[in-house]
Order: sequence, then C-alpha cells, then structure tokens
Amino acid sequence: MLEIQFQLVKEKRMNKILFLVQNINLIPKLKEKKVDIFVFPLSFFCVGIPKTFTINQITEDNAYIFVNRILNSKDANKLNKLLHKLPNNIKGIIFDDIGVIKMLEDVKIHKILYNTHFTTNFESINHLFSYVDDIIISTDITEKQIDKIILKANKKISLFTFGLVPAMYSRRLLLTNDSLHYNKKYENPLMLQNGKKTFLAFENEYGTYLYHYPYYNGLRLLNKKCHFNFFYTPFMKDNDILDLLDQKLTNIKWDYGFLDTKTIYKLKDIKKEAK
Amino acid sequence: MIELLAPAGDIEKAHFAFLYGADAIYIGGKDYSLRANATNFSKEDIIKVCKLSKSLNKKVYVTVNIVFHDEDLKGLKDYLIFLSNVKVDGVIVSDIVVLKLIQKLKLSFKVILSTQTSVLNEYSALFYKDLGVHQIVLARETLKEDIINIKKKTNLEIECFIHGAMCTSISGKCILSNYMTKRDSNRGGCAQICRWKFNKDQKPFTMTSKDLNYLDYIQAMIESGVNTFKVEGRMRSIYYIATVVLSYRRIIDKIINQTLTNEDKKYYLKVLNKVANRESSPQFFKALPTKDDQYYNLDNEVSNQDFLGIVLDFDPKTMIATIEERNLFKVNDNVEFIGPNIKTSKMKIKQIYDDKDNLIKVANKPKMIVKIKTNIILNKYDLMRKEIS
Repeated sequence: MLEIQFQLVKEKRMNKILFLVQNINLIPKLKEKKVDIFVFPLSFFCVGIPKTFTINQITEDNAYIFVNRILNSKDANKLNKLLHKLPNNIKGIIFDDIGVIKMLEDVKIHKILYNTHFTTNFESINHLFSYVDDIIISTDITEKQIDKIILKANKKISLFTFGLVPAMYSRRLLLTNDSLHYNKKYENPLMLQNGKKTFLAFENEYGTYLYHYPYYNGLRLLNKKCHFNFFYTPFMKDNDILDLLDQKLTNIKWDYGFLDTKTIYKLKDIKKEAK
Repeated sequence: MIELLAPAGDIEKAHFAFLYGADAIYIGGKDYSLRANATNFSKEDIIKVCKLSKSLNKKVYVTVNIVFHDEDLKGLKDYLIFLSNVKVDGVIVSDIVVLKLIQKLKLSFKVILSTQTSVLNEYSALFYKDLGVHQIVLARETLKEDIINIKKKTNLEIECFIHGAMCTSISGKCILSNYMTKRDSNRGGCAQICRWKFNKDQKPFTMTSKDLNYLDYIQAMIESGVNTFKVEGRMRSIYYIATVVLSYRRIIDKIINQTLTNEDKKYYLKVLNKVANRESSPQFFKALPTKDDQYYNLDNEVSNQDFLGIVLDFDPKTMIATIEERNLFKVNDNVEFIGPNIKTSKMKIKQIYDDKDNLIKVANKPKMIVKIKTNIILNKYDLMRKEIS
C-alpha cells in the first residue's frame, strides 16, 4: 500500500517536496530523487538540529532557510537585520516564531509558517493565510481533521510528511543540567524512555528539543491536495534518507503519530471512549 | 497602575483571592480553558463572580486560551458574547480564531494574550497588537531586556508570572502529554510529563523545573514596565492562594510606599517557601536558569500541612474565635494568624472547645468546627497556620 502511494507521487505528484538539509554533499542525490526545495536550518536561529548553516554557507539556488527558535528581543533584532539583506539565492523561509511575520512585511520572500502545535483548525489557518504564503499545519491532529482543513482552507495547506515531530521545546539546557547534577557522562543526543514511549533529546546553546521517536510517517498524505510536503529528518543517516526516498522503510522505525489517534480534550472524554 | 492578579479555581478561591489582596482574578469556564480538568466556573458562577468583583471594585479575567481544533469552535461565538454581556473585564486568549472573532463582534472587554503564545520579542507582540490585543502575558522565558524592549516598542500592557509552577517547555510548545497519555496539553489536558522520570532502568533523567519565585525582582520588574503581576495556580488550595497573594500584596505595597526592607524580603521568602510543595527560585528575569533551577528529587514533593483552619467567627467581647479545622492542631501548639486586615500574629493554643462547648485536646476531624480563646483580635476569613519560625 505504502509503495503504491509513494510511487504515484513520484510519477504524477502535484505537491512539492521541501527537504531539510543536513549533509550538503547529499543534495545531488536528493535532486535525482526529485526533491524540489532544499531547506537549510539557519545557524544561531535553530534548536534541535545538529547541523546548521550560516547564510554564506548556503550556495544552493532557490534555497529556503529554516528558523525554529522562539526568539528573544536581541536575537529577533539580529534576524530582522539578516532578513533585510538576504542574498538572491534565498527564495523562502520556514519559521515558527510569529514575530517573523512582522519582520518580513517589507521583504519579498516566500513565507511559510510552521507554528508548531498552533494550526489545528481551518478558521485559524484561513486567518493566518492573510499574513503568509503557506502554512505547514500541526501534526497533532488526525487524518480526518486534516481532510476537513484541506476542504475548508482558503488556500492549499502544506503537510509535515515524514520525520521527527517536535514534542517539547525548552529554553533550558536539560542535557547539560542533568549530566552536571547526576555527575554522569554528557550525551547529546540522548534517547529518553518511559514505558513504551521514546523521545530523542537534543540540546544546543539555545535550548533543548525533544522529538517523539520513532519517525512520523505521513507518506500517505502525499496524495492529498496540498502545496508542500515537508520532510524533516535531522538525525537520519544519509543511506536511510535515500532509502526513504526510494520507498524503502525497512531500516527506519516509524509510526503514524496522531493520524489515526485522536487526542483527548477532557478526562471525561477518556471515560466516554472507554464505554 | 500595578495589578496583582491571582488564580481562582472556584468561587471560594475567588473570594479568598480578593479578600487577601488581589486586584484581579483569572478564572476558567467549563470550556476552552487550559485547566480542562479543574472544577472551573459554570456560566452561573461567572455571573456570580462578576457581581462579587464589581461590588469590591476588582476585576475578573476569563481564560479562553486553548488551541482550538475544528470541533471545539462550535459554541465559541455564543460564549464570547455571553462573557461580554456579563461584563467580564477581560479575556485571556491564545488562538488567532478567538482574536479575530472578538474583533469581528466588536466586543469591548480587555483582550489579554495568553503566555501560551510564547511572546519573547517586540515583533511577536506587535503582530498581536495589530489583532486587538491590549495586554500580553509574556513567555516565562522572558529576560529583563526583553520586557524593556517589548514595552518600549509596543506600549502594550505587560503581564508576567511571578510565582508558582513552571513548565519545563516554552508554553504552547509541548505535546509530551499528547504522546504519553493522549491528553492534549494545548487544550488543557497537560499530564505534567516533565515531572516524570525517564530512563528509570538506566541512569535516570529528569527535567522538572523548580517553581518560580520572583519576590526579589518585583521592584526591577515594575521599573522594567510590568503592569500585572500574575500568580500561577488555579488548582491550588485557598490557603496557598491567600498566603501567596497576601505576601505579594504586602511586598508590592511596601515597594510603592518605599518601605520594603531586607528583613521583609527574608520573612516573606520564608512564608512563600513554607506554603509551597516544591523548591522555588527566580528564573529567567536576570539570567537563564542553570542546573540549580531544576528539581531532581521528584519523589519528595511535600504535602503542606501548615494550614490549620479558617476563622468563621470572632467575638471581641469574649475573644473566642470559631475555627473550621483544615489540618490537625492541638493544645500547646504554636500557631499564627494571617489575614488581610491584621498583622501576622503568633500565639500558643491554650484551650480548644468542640461545637458543644466541650473542652477537647485536639482538633483532628476534617472541617470540624471548634472554638479557641485568643489574645488577638481576628476577623472572619483570617487563616490559622503553624507558626513560621
């Protein structure tokens, strides 16, 4: 089933693939696999991503930059300055902090909002379309809810399609603190386990990101009428990335996230479900 | 105008928050609030608490701060109109759908942006200002320089948390609860996963932050442009709320009157530490937190037993106080009374009478009514607690 869906995409797909870059040397091979747009996590303005790039290091044509930090005033001002003198090869930006919208008011660049966990209903998404060109909607909702949003959104939405889903973003240096307190070896990234659930924690000077592990597999969304499919695989080995784009998921652990699992609003809803 | 804003999980807590010095309270209705499993306020309760606040010349803000899924939108419009009609003073909001609806309906209450939106810079603040926001609850991660910048560039009213539990995550950016329990943290279901232990079988990993305590920074926060000082804890007890609110009320008043001393600070720090069940520390305002601002001893959170009773009545002729017991106390215990209109006063309990005027040695039944003779003039709703030495 999975292979048929993915093949269909390769042959006839209407959507474009946005791919987060970690290894620049892999780009030629990714191009062969028909990746459309390369997204470069921007140094100083990202958390949770091991490899980031300064503007000068991004030489790819039609490149997009990725900014996922919630920025304090000082760094927001630095980003604002940088956004006003971007080189011509930077065509777009994907960002989380809503303030970037204000920074970009007079900047001609393709604006993609990835406001994690905050785009879960069609009305909010339609309002946000007044400010940005595209929106990567939240992964916290079911496929049914995604379908409703696709149906009711004023414009084509974009979908997080494969990768590690951010589950928590702390400004604290949680791995450093834990290591110092317990006087144990500093490991970064660190896998965290509780019961059957696993999270991958990664820290840089701007904070700590916890990703849900295994990888979120939304490849079945590739056939939806959307604008972009976002692939976000910051810790995946190069070979596994190529396998992923060749439809081979045998070495990659994945699940469907919340695509089939509705979250609970109130505890009484859990009781209702149990009945 | 400096405002002390207190949490209120129900009518009784609202009453105590006002009585002990809050200028305003924030409450959640039965829907759309980020404490989905708290008692919360029915529409009738909201009407009652609005009447109470108006009679006291105080304010009520209502949280409508979940991140909405499509199915939650039903009823939102009617609810906002209801809140406007009953004249709540403000609504605390995080989702743009609510902000736009308030604009469209031209509702007149104050619009307060929830901390859930994690505003840390003036650009985000300006984005929301354009959407009709009057006041912003800044992210708990805000540094002093951020507050100054945001105030200067936006002229918005600034609200900051000053006391209570902290999220390890930047608010709004955590769905650990969704993964671990299916409870949606951005719709009020947070199961506090950041207080759980991970890798228990190997080397344990913990990430819990200590509670927030900005007692030392109130003056600097006022000078930085903070208008509203917010205490966390809609699910906390009346004793906690009364104690924390009274402490900050007195600190703020002393700052305004320029009479705050280091001894005052030490005393109120002791009081605030005694009422909490976790360690607390100032975090973020002056500097980023370190390992010392986390809480590792997760198994040893203490249940506070200091709250002994509420004064229900006081007869100044006989100096007899009628007390509703909340935790065991006995003859010869050293206790103290706090209240909005009394100086905190200590005494030793000499005699306890039950409700039939029989002399007893110990008050040990939940909510039992007893009488004790005091040497202090008390008022209804003063609180009796163990002496803080």
